[in-house]
Amino acid sequence: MATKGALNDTQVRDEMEKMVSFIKQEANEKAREIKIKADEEFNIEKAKIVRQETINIEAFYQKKAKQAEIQKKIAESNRNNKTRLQILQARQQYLNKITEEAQKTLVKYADSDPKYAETIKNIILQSLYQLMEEEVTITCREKDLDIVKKAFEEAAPIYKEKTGKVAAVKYSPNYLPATSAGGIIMAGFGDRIVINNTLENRLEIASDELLPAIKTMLYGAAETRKYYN
Amino acid sequence: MSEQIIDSKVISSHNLYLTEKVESLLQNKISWDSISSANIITSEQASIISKGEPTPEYIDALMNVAENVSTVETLQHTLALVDDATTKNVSLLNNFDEKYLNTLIKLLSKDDETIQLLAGRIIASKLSNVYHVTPVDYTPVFQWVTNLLDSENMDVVDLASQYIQGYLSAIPLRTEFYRNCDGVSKIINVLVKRSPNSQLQYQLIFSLWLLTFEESICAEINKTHNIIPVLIDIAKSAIKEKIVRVVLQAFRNMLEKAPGANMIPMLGNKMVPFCETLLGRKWSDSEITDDLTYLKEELSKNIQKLSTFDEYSTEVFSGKLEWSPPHKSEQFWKNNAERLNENNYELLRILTRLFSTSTDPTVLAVACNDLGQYVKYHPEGKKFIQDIGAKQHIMELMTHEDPDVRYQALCATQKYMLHAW
Repeated sequence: MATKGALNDTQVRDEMEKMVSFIKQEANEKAREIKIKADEEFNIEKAKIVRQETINIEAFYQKKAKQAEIQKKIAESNRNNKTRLQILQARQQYLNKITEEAQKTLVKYADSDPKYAETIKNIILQSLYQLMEEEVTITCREKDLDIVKKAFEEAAPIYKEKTGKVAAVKYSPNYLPATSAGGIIMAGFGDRIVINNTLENRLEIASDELLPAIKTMLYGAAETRKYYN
Repeated sequence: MSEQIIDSKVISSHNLYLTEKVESLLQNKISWDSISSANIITSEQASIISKGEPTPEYIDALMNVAENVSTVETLQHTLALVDDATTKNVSLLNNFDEKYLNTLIKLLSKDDETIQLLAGRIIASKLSNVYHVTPVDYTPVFQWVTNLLDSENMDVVDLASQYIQGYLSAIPLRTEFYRNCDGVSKIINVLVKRSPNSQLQYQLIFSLWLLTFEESICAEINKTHNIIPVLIDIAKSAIKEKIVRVVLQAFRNMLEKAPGANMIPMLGNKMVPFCETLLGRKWSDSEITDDLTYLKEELSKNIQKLSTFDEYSTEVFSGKLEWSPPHKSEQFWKNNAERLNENNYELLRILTRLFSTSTDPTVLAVACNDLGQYVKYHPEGKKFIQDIGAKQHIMELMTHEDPDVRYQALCATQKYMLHAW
């Protein structure tokens, strides 16, 4: 039943198509606006995140760089210490060698040098003066026994003259080892005071005292030393 | 990279001006073989074109023709084919590099309108992919399209505005468009003087909105082009919701990105009452209500801040009176009218001097308003007003040519006469 002004099918379809395309266009326009706003928000957010992460990365690498710096310093310091120790050890070695050589020379001296007897006499005197006793015990090398006895006889009167004391001597049966460089050990006051005047001992004392001088002779003065008195 | 979610047919689904021309010219057959025998394209390319399958090689062959041939019909046909293929198969635009774009840009200067419009359309489709802009000099494109806005043919103006929507979708190009061509002035010209229909209004304001995404543009666009009152007027009389929608979006961008430059002109153009009126209407799009609320609140927050006496006196000293918040605020006058007496009536003297020196109707209107308000809230000052000759000036201005000035002068006189006994 057609009323006046009603549309036929084709017209209805046309109208619908027009409406559909109109709605579609409106929707597309709104969609476009939404996309543009979304892009803007995206850009803002992205810039914020990038900025934040850049700051974080910078901070992280700063820290790393500082740590590496510290590691480097530690390694350098360690290396310095190690080399310093090595130098010191090497120097010590040479000093030891000197002492060894001196020791060997001493033995030779004691066994072959004619001045040995005079040395013994002086050592005996020195020891007597130190002890200031009247009864002493002397320990020496077995092969030195005669030299020592003779030396004592020469030394005793000098001692008496200087101190007014008369020294009586006993010889200990425990001789110094044959390998030792010589010299004597004198004991007094009932073996309670002992003076070790062996050549080794004298060498030891001498090298201790001379150590600074030897070191300076070998290696030059220390660069950082300020006081020499 | 994202796919084209937007249906690029949105570009000209309602405007059949170009479509009709294209349909008719595609009826003519072009002999591609003769072109290949002229050694412009290879015979292989000729057969690809004849087959008509939209592949990158097809586009390549067509663009080869476009670059090297100068017969109008061939160019029209070629461009029509390219446009058709790239509309149906948007991924083909990914292959558009500098060479193709430069070919198209050169074609914009050909005399034939169809060629120009087709070339412009293809460029718009290409630029609608917002993320990646091929580095080419687009200034000729912008200048061409904005000149089209001056065309007598409204269909052409409509197409131009659609193309501009496309071009401005490319984010990096917005500043270039603003600075290197007369775009904004011509857009406003169309909006104000050419009585555009709703769709054209929407498209033009949409383009302006795209420009407001750039902070540097927001800071100066109103100063240079005075778009705020233009847009407010359009929004007030708009029938379609989408026009109000884009206007509000543009305002929101301007206020968010450059409040310093836009707060005062917006307040001066009575945007707060405008928002309140619109809030009274029912909108189907909730984003409109959101934007209106935002604008109203931001502006209201700052009215108080900006209505200080110091602001007012700096303005008077500068001589550049505008409709800034203090002038219209009754509260302001109630509190501060007497302060105009300070420093031996300094401000009053300046206002009076402005009557004689200024020819700007805004300044004169504002000055009248100010003196009227002063007298209203501080009647004792009437004698002084008369003595310095301000009253004389106001009465003279009642016959000024500018209606706003006359109105303000009349109001001021009325206030003056109020307690004349």
